[in-house]
Amino acid sequence: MPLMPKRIQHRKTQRGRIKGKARRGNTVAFGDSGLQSLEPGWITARQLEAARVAISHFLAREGRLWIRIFPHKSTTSRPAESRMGKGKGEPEQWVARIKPGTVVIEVGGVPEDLAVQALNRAAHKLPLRMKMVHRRHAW
Amino acid sequence: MNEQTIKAERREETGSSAARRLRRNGKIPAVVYGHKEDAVPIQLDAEDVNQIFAHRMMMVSLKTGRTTDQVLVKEVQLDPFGEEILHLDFERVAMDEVVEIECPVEFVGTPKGAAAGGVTEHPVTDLTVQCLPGDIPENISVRVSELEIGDTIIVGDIEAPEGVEIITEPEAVLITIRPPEELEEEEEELLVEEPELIGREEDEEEVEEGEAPERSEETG
Repeated sequence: MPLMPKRIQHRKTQRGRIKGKARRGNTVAFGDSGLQSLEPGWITARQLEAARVAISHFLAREGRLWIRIFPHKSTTSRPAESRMGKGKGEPEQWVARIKPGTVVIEVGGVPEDLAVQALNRAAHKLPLRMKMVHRRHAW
Repeated sequence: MNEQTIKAERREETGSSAARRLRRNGKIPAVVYGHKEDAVPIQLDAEDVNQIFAHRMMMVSLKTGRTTDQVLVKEVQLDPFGEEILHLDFERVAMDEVVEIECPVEFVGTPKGAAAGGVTEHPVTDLTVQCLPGDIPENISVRVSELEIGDTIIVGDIEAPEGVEIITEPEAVLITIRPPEELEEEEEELLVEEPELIGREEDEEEVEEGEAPERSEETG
């Protein structure tokens, strides 16, 4: 089941613009390795679910997975072959707004080579360029 | 622990624009403070800073003009991608004065439980320790090879090196070997489709009012 909010204030939102880099959520905080976004954009709940399934199938019962983002924003679409006008379309899917630097998914409890392979599979399910990052010690 | 003398120059300009200009010219802005003296903005060569970072040097001799200070690298600021060093904080210390630092934990060996299918979790990767500047350990080693599934090591279980006192709360879990999770049934998940709920009370009333006639038409 793809992620979506339980309660929302408004059904439809404007598209908005993603400015700047991620000042928070830009480090691996729970697992040992993760995927960090290199560009701004939206990740849909379905893409996130596909990435999760790719990792959990690859790792089978080993390790643990953390999804660090949540699709808070609804996007709408118009029915096929409908004319312009008649108001905004109906909510179609849920997306997470991603700033460059955001750590999207983390994996822990597995050897590094396995984690890298699993994250590589997940990165192929996501629409943004990703970078593999590892946990750093505090200074 | 490594200790090296690094040359620094006093920085006249402060602020983000000046700092950006410095970085373009291969310098890194930094600040030295502590010991009841004024905070002094300084600049360092990027090469020196990279060396500090790469070797994780905690103590450095900082030569600013004619004065040389023993300083502790208190904080390193990185860009959101963790690639570029943006700024450093140095704290003046006396060699006979206890300092508080974050020390990395190194797990030695592969837990038996992990080999048997358990999942290793280590929520704490650094410990806060107090020691003299000369006694700063590079890391604190914890032997984990004997851990079975369900075993846990807490901070209170580990022995600190000589002259080092661990400040992190003793109940904090350092490493635990969790039994493997059961696979989720995906078929069941596909059937569940949750409708969204409107958060505001006013909207809920409006929706209910608007939907009521439709329902009656459908039923009728």
